[in-house]
Amino acid sequence: MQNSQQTISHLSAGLRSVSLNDNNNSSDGSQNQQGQQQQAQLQQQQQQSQQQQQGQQQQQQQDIIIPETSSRISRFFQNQPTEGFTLFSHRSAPNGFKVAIILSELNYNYNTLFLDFNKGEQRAPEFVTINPNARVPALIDHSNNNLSIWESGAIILYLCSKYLAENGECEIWSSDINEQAKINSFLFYQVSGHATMMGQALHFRYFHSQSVPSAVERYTDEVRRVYGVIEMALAERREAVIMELDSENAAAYSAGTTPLSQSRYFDYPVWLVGDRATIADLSFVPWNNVVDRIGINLKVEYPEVYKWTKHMMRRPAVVRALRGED
Amino acid sequence: MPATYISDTTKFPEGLTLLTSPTPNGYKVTLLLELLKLPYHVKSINLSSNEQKEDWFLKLNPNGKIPVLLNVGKDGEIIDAVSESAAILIYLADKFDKDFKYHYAASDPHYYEELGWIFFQMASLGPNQGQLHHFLNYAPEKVPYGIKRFTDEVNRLYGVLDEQLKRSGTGYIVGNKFSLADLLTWPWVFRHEFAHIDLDKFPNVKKWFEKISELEATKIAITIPPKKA
Repeated sequence: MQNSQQTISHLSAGLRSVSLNDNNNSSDGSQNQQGQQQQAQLQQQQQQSQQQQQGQQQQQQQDIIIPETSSRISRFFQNQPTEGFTLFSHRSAPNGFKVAIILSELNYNYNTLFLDFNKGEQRAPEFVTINPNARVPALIDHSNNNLSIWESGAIILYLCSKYLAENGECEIWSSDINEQAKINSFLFYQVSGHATMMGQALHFRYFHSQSVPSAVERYTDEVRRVYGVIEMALAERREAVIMELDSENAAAYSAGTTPLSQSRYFDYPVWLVGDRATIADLSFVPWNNVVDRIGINLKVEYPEVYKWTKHMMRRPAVVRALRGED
Repeated sequence: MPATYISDTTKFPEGLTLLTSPTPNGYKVTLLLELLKLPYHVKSINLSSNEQKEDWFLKLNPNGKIPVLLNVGKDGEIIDAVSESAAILIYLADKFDKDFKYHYAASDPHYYEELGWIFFQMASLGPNQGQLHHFLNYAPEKVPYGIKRFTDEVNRLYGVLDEQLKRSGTGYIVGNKFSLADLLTWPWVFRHEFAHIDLDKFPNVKKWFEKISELEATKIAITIPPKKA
């Protein structure tokens, strides 16, 4: 039990300095520099994390007494807002930002409560009541009798179904069961195949006391495989879009006499399902934003994934959400 | 409804075809198909020969993993090819469980509780138990830390499930109905011995597990496709 709680704080501590802004426009040089800075920050955090861990152990010993900090959570639950949403998140939890992005895209009003894991706020009894797994994110819909939902993917589907019921359409999801299934497949792929493997890669790379190269390799390879699948899916969409929109040159592209990269549609946005950004795409963004931490360079290794991420990072709703603006 | 096995992968018969293997994620889908008594075809996929990475398969699921559900039209055209076990279950429930026997309607507050547990299985229980299976049974190098990390986490997750079953008090994970939440969790608990999990430590899970194991549909679902001799 204790071990798993430490696991949470390890991962989150390492991601704390994650830069959640659009840095994709900077040159390679400055990205490198930034990478070094991030590396240095990360080392610093690891030290901090160890200190925090000691603090946390002390905190855990004190848990028998009602933790002082749970009072902030208790106060919230005793006096909940009557409208809008409350998002329970963490400053360095990509899955929390994933939900923020969807709230922001749907133009819903929400407030974010960033939990302090070092104070054990995720184990406050009121919070465990709304999320039995004691993790972030969780969401309360105050306009729906304070209905609570946990697990980022479940929250996203809740928000999209609600929006669809209220508005008769939901651009980032679908009203059609068949298209929903296509989008849901990618959503489940992201939560089960992508986020989980990145989490393990980060853990074994940064937060494990002794080096286990085979484990680092195992999870980094798996994340690479996942991005390879997405890259292929996007490349197929790219080819289809170019053949359709750039029809006067289609024959030359097909014959291979002109490379596709010369098409003026080479940077045109393409999406996993249909011709618009959906939750299939958006759920990947906050994780794509930290993938350099495990030594994967999207720009070099997965150019379509890189362009796809860049287009999403420029969306005003995504920018707002990643800045932590409610 | 007995499944009909097919082997031709160049043209699929009209109706539902499941591309699957004798694994927990495959059993999730055979279990729902059996409960709904739907007619379906099965193409057994040989994982040890990497059949799921062959071109014809990757065209249907670029991720190269089972299960994949095909919905095929009259002329053999593929109307839908759905991958990811939970997405398949939601698709089948939306299309064929119109009386909400095995899932909750979106208007029912239990629906979102059910979704939470569906994602809990997909994002936590399944992946972590999968990693534990790897470190215990397949890893070329013995990594004690890997075994400990995932043993602790999987035990914690079984504890979370046990607590929920205790809280719900109905014998089901969500509300008073055998829902998709139970249905997709059971096949992973079915493999608990493979993960060296002692179910006696989780009495509510054990009771729940044994009850679902007794269902006729469950007994059939875990034989599709048969394991190779």
